[in-house]
Amino acid sequence: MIAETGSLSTLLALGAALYAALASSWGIRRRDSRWLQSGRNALYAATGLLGLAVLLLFLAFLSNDFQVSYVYQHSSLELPLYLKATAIWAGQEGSLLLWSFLQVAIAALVVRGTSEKQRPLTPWASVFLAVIGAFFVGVTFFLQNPFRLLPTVAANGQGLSPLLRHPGMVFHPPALYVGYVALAVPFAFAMAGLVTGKVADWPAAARRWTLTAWVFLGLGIFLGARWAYDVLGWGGYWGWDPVENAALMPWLVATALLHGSVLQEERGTFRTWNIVLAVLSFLFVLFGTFATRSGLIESVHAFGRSSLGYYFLGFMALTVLVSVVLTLRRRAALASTAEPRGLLSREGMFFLTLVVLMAITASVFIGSVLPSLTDALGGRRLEAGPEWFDRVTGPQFAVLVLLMGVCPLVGQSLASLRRLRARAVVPIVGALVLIVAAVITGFGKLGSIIGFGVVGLAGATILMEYVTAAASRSRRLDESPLRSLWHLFGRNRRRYGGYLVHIGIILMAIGVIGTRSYSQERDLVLASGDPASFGGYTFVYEEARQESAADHLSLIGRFTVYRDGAYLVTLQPQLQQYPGSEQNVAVPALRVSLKEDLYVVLSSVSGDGSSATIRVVVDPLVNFLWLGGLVLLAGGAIAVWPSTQLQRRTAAESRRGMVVTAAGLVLGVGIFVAAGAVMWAGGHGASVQASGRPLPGQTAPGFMTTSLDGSPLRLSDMAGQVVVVNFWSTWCQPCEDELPALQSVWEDYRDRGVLFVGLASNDQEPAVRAMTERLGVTYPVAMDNNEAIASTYGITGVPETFVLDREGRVAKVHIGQVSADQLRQDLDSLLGGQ
Amino acid sequence: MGTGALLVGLALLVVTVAYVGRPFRPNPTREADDRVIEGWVSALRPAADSGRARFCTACGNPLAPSHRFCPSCGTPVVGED
Repeated sequence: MIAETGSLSTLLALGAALYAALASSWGIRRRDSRWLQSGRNALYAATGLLGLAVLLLFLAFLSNDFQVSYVYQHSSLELPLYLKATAIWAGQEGSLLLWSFLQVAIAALVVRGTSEKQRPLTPWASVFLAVIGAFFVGVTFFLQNPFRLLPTVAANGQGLSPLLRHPGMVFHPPALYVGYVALAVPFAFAMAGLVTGKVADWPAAARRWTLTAWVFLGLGIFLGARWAYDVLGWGGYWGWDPVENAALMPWLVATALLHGSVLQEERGTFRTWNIVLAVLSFLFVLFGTFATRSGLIESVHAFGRSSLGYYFLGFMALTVLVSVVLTLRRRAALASTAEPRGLLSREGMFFLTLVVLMAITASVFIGSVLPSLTDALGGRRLEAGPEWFDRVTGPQFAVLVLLMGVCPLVGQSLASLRRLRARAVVPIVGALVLIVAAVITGFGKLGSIIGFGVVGLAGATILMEYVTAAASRSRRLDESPLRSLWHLFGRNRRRYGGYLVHIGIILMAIGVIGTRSYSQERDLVLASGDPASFGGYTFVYEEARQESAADHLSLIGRFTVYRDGAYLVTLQPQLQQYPGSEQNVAVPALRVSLKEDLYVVLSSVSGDGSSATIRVVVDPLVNFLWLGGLVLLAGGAIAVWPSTQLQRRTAAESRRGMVVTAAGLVLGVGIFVAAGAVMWAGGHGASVQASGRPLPGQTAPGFMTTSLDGSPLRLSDMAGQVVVVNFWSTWCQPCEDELPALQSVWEDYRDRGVLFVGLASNDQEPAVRAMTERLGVTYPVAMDNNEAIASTYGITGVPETFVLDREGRVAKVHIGQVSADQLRQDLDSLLGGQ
Repeated sequence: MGTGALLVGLALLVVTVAYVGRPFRPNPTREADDRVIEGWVSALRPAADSGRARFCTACGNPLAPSHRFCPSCGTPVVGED
């Protein structure tokens, strides 16, 4: 019932979307507002119907309706509720349904828009958007219907892929989809501009939508990178995976379109560029969908192979055909009206920016299709690995950052070189400061020095831009400088929001340089209690334990990390096993700092738990990347925030505007604080204890106590002898099991200068007395009241045994039960075969 | 396909078609208003055609050339004839 209704609802939506396209174009032809209104209503109806379909799919997940094939494939009885909601977009069919819904919904939003700039273009734009929407709905209904039923009903579903069981699943795919569908809007407005001949006006009409698409696509990419960092367990965030590239390419083109639009609005130039960019960004959306859903490329994120690709290919061809024909028809109107200026002008700088952005896009595109292309051409299959992408796009990105720094210096146009010289002091100082800072903090490789120089230059220029603008306003209006800065953002959101985006990119660039040139990684095999060092850190494996959650088993390793011999942090990476899935998910543990992240992944634990293999990744400066991403998105959000000042005519409207602004501000800041908290304040498997165990070779902490028989026990009195300190408790079975072994070893070695001390931790004296008497323990045993001694030794449980050499230094640590043989071995090596 | 789903689908279809077709649906109130306005306009038209429109001096009702008394309030029409 649910599934059938959902299917019918999708079919009706398809009809409504097609009707919308026809009715709107008929209305335009006949100049009949009734047909236009009817077309609008059809888009609203299609949105409602698809919303209903999405809701019904959600209901099918909620009610565990495993007769629905899609629910059977992507859910199971024990899946947590929030993941059942996100499972809607876990697979091909459901995500296409969501996409269709968003695509039609955005068309409905566009036809609702009534701004003066948009009105003449909206009818035609709605025709194009309705056609695009109908295409997606049609593909969903006929080829990838998520409501398809199985002939039999299964008792339980196959469950969600473990990699998708992550909170990132809630936001990452929908953010990307919103970005993708919104990129159809500038395309539709560009086409509407060509059809109506209003080629000058469409970028302004589409601007907010382009920015919205850009922000959401950026958010999606950013969340995806963070998700990869948190979940995939390879210590990276960007692997130049084809699906990542599929999202990056439209975003890069949209970036170029935003810049081109600014110039077209200001001076009427870049008209052809902007048409091409709008078409290209939409084509890349289709291409990405085609590539990831057709089985053309292999990737962790890609959907399975299907015939869907051909339909997308066909739609792309249609898009190209329509846009080429329309562009050629209007080529006269596309000629720029403004006189061209030289390269050393604002226009020239923007031109270079567009060229570089397109060059990066082209490189990424070539790298993405190279394997398939060489395959298809029948030659040797050529693969473009991450190193290839890094090497090719790295310098291009550097030029882009450099342009960010040079463009504000040039201003409207560069009158003279002297002017440039006067303005170039601050940027050059900025570059030098950052280079010196990088060298001092240990980032002195030649390539990265150039990178840091470029970043410093660009950063200083933009900061200077803020400071001079705020200072001049503050002088002119006699405001406080901070207030002036605030008003700058209020008055010219696009410009100063845009600069904030540039600052975000500069911060990200620092992170990229750090992680790409200084990242180190190694696999370490650690025996329990035996330290190993890498990247300036020393790791001690303590234990592994198993915990079970509702839908998975976790194997959790516990590692103590030291730096320069001092205890730093305790990390607990996990390996999660999901029943019914071959795949184990490694949940890394992170020690976060501004200088570098220490990233530890548990690879395996030996059968008896005595040794563990970990992968350690040291990621320098990676937090600049996350911080920069947040700043970038904040800048985009500022630029896209509606400017209501002009429309507020009455006091009530103005008050309402203030309330809306304040609410938006609170919401925005709240989101960013929450995102920051998730990234940096969340535990990520790291915890800090009062102190760690002394490492082998370090002096053991002294203690002074009284044994059960009343004699004093002082570590300082035992100098010159080998001492075995055993922490234990009467309630601990392994402790009880090892006491006879300790006693027997002590009896053998007591005459050779070896002392044993038992410290009963967290225990009652009568019980301790009873047990030592019962097991015949005769070496001195003391109560460790309130774990006073245990805490200085940093023990994390009982039993633990420390073997100290004659100088009072730790020679060996045994975490957990120790055998007589192990202890004899330790003592023999310390006593040197006496 | 179950009867329930079919009925729900039919209901959705009816609602959609009704909503999409709404701009074309005759609007009785508006049409009545239109008729009244058209009456005024046609009453005015001959006067306008003859060069000057005539109105009752008492109540403002439009007057046709043949009117000797205002059809609305009965006031005698004062004029050149």
